[in-house]
Amino acid sequence: MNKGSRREISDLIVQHDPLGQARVPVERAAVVAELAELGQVRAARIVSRMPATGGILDEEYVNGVLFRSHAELQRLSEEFLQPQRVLALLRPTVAAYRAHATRTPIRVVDFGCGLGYLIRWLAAKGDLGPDVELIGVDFNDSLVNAASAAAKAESLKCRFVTGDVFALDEPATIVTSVGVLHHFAAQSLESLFRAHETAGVAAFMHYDIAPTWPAPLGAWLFHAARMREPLARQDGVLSAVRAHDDETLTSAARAGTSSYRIGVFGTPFALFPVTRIIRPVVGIRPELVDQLRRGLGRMHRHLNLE
Amino acid sequence: MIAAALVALALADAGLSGFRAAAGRNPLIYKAAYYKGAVLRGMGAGFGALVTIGLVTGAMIFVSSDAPAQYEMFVDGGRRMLGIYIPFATLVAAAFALYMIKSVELRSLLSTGIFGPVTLIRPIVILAGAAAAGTGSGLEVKLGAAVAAAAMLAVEPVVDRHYVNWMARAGRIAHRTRAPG
Repeated sequence: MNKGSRREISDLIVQHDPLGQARVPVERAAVVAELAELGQVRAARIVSRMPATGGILDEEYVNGVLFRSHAELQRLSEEFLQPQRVLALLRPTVAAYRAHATRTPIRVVDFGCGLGYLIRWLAAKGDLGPDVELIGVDFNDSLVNAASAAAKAESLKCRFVTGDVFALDEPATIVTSVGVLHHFAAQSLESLFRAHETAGVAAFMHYDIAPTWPAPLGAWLFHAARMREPLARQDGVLSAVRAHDDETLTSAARAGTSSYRIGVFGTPFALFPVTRIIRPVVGIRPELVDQLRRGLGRMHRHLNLE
Repeated sequence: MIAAALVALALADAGLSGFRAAAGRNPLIYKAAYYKGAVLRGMGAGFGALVTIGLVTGAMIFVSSDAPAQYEMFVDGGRRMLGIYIPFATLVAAAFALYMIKSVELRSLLSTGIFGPVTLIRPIVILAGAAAAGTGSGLEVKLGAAVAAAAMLAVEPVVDRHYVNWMARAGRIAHRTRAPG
């Protein structure tokens, strides 16, 4: 089976209208049938056990499962220091933009933010400067609500919005994401990257699982050891299988855009692929590149832009 | 000495069980107090397990016709347990020591190479220690080792219940809050 044809449960049990504005009812039997047809027997069994009323999945139950799964995902992000990885590239990117700033504030927007861990961590860290606005965007309003509640509980200076990252009232300066790109089919990536250019984004850095040879084994091991929710275990392992390779991502980004330098930000210890758990595909306006390289210091060797 | 070493290892293991039960359930950023409470809660449950183990083994020694010999058999069983547990604990302690180095790559390597796998094999190690203690021993030591293993394996599920309820409350609060926009 083509790895891209397999579906994650979380992509199927929450669906929105074509404008992405409102949740629509999801028929449990349809999801179970789709997963079964794809040969994903275990995933089908997980969904078949979810409560439904009149055949429609219980939205409150689904919200609860997604909340718990994302909290477990946050734990993995904490363990693998993912915000620190993002900050290592984001901080010099913000500085590079600031040096050429044509508009302020600088809006850093996390796309598909889930519980907003990255944005809240950046707000708590407070490293990026007072001219930086931190915004998390997700289509899932229950996760956005939970992210807002968590930020409010700790008085963090950031906000969360339900909707489309490329249709915000206040346009994004830098767009980030963690673990989102593998949710897109390879053929959809080009239009996704094109949307950055259309929206006038200055730079993007989309972190996702690096499809190294040990990634599926590592994902299985970690989801077995750390995750409790069957959905989180199932989707987590599949995400490592579905992850796009560097060539697919950079080709799509180059095909979809013309005003960015595109590349991948690598990592030291390339011979130990387990350390390269996630890595970003990067796009940045050419006028910012020199400043970004200076800001990265010795790490600039790992930024392979074309 | 043997008993003290086993008690120390049991409390350390219970503290880590508390941490694991709490991890992945609190989406906040600042969680030092939360995790400290979880470790203490785990150690509290571990203390309960140790009291249970102490009562069972103490009762068997008390009712034995030759209490000193029975005590020595438990000590020998404990020594064999340590033969399994000390290498495992040393590996975990060494990984924690290295984790203090603030390197993203090193920490990732430790997580994938050590912490994940040892979490998965912990129940097997506990049972292997109990099996080693019971090997070549009388029924009392076998029974004591089985009770010890069961009590330590029960610590995490017991603490887990608390955090399942904690998260259910947190989820309800989170979903009642409406985001702007």
